[in-house]
Amino acid sequence: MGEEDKKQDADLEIDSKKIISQKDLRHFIDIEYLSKDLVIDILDLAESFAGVSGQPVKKVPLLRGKTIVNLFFESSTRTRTTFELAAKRLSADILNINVDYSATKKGESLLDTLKNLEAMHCDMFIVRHPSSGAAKFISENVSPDISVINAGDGRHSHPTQAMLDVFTIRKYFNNFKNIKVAIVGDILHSRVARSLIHALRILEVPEIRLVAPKTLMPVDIEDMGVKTYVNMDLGISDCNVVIMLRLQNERMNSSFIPDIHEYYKLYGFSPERLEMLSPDGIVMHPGPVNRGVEMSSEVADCERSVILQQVSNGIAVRMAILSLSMQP
Amino acid sequence: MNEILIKSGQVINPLVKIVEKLDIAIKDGIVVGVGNNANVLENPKIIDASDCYVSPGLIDLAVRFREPGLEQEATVERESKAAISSGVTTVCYMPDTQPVIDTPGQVKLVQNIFNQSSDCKVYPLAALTRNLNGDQLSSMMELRQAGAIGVTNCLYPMKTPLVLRRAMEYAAGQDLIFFYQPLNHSLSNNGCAHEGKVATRLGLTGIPSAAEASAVAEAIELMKLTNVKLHLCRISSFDSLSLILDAQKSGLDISFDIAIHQLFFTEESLNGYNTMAHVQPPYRTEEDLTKLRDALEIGRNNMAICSDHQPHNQDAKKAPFPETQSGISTIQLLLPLLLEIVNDGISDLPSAISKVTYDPAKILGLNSGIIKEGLDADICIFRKNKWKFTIDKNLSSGENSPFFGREFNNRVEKTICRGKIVFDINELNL
Repeated sequence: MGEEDKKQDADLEIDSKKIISQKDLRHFIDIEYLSKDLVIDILDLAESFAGVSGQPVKKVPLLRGKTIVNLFFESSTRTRTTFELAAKRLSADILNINVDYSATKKGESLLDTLKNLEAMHCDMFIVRHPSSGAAKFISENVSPDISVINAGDGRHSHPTQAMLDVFTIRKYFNNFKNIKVAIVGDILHSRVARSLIHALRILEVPEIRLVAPKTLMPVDIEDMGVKTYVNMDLGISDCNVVIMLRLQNERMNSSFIPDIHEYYKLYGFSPERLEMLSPDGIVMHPGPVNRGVEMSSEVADCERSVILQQVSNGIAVRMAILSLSMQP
Repeated sequence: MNEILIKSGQVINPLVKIVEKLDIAIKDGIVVGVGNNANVLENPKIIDASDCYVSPGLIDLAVRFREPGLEQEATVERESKAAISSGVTTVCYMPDTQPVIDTPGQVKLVQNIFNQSSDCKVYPLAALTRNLNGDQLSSMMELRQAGAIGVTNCLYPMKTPLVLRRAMEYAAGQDLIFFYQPLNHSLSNNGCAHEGKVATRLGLTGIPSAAEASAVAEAIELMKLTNVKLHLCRISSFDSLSLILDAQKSGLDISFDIAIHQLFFTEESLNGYNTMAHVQPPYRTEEDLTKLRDALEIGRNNMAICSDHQPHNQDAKKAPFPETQSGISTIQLLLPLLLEIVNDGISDLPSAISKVTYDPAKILGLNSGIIKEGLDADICIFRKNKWKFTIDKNLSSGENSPFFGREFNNRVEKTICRGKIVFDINELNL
């Protein structure tokens, strides 16, 4: 056994103890009902996995012999890839299945698709689906030995993205209790925004602001414990964290906004707007960035932009969630 | 001969809103005497109703029994049994079957199916437009002659307001009741939940109250223009209700109905993606619920409560919420649910009963919905009797009910249709 392996095994022992205390995480569907302690435990565990990527052998044997299915009913590059990497670094076998959702809608029902995959004896489904509530539905309808991880369901939830975002925020700010966070852009269609609101609320962030034109702001979202702004300058003023959301191409051609030009003027993160943040303020984006639409290239590539850290943190956070869900 | 004497029941008169202890004499399917005049029978079968209420048979303005074409979901025979167990003796049959009821032959077919396999009376509604396409008017004169009492486009949109206007004009000329479920389909935006805090949190596309209210306003204006006999179906929001009540106050002879289940749930019932709460129109806010219930208390005229009965097969609700079919199976609980509202003190008994008997009869232009000498003996006998609705008591083939496990305070004992006892709780092994 080499020096590196020994070190890894020592790390693992610590991790496993932590993991065993988490029995209620077989499925990871939504952040809304997690306790603060559990959220922090996940972040701490992710912290210990963050080191794995820096090692020459980027693997730990936690999920050796397990089979994980990336079951995507909607296209994705980033999320699918980071889940795949996370699974591989945990030594699991991973299978990528992209289901043409329009075809399933016409013929095979979602339940039948699931039953067929179950028959292949998989241990975990990582699911992305265009319908809100799909991940919960799937978790309620798979056999009891299968874990389900939500990789995005409709507009509802994208819990691993939110976890990696708060993980990234924690790297920059020791305490969630003294920061102001603004989420800017297409809140209406954003599952990331909804999950982030829950995560930030659980971590007791005192001020969560949403900034969007009224056409892209969901009705009564204040009920989730946030402040809403139509004016971006007011909305991001003095914030420590600004999370920009992607404006989907199809929104640009409908009646949500007049055009990209006006959108950029009103809600684009221009270099001038950097000045409005708190001096320690950082800029985030779940990616992929539409440069010149929601964010200028200068901002995307500036020192205060942590977009690429988010991507690398995504692997560690997903490793933490996969390993927690798969504990016996 | 075929004689029944219902003795000593608390008889509900929904017209004058009184309840009094009376005997009812029935002969050959007809009520031949009430109260002092009931002593006219020679050798009647006697029903002792001394601890019971006696109500006119219920008239349900909106049922879907799925025949023809969707027998895998439900049949007229089975759903009728669920209906009579709730005291329903007359139903309006929605035309969105397969094929759609848009020809005289289809209307006759529905009547034939009922004659052969149901104890309920049926009044078919015909499709307003061919195949419910919202564009080409159906042959309304022929449909009326075949027996259609009204026309409706169900939940399907009219292509343009101009088509809606012409459909109203034409229906008015044919003396057909215009059943219109108000919804601006563009504003409803393929939504599946009330636009509000719950839909926002669950990430579901919302249907704003304005999508219904604006269609109500449009329909009222077009009613003034066309003089059609307008009945607005399944009102769900306070905004819509206010528009209708104002129109009634201004003298318009407009009627409306509310689905019974709409008086029991709010948007909160969708939490956890409860697909049994997927209905059209959607369950709305606490305020809407209160105001809809208030409408019962005030005892509005020209207002009916219907079951909006929509049995589905099991798969219909087994999918992610937005992909499930809307609608729930309700007819077996129409009367027990209504009586819960009376129990809650929202409405007095005769006013509530009127919403499922005399009011719908008036809306349909029928001389029924009341127990009176000379009219058909359509009667429901019920009494205070606590029971729990469980899956083994479900008579409908639709198991898509949010009410399993719920307790009720009243239960139907017997239902009589055209003088024949068609339901008797004692003969049913429940």
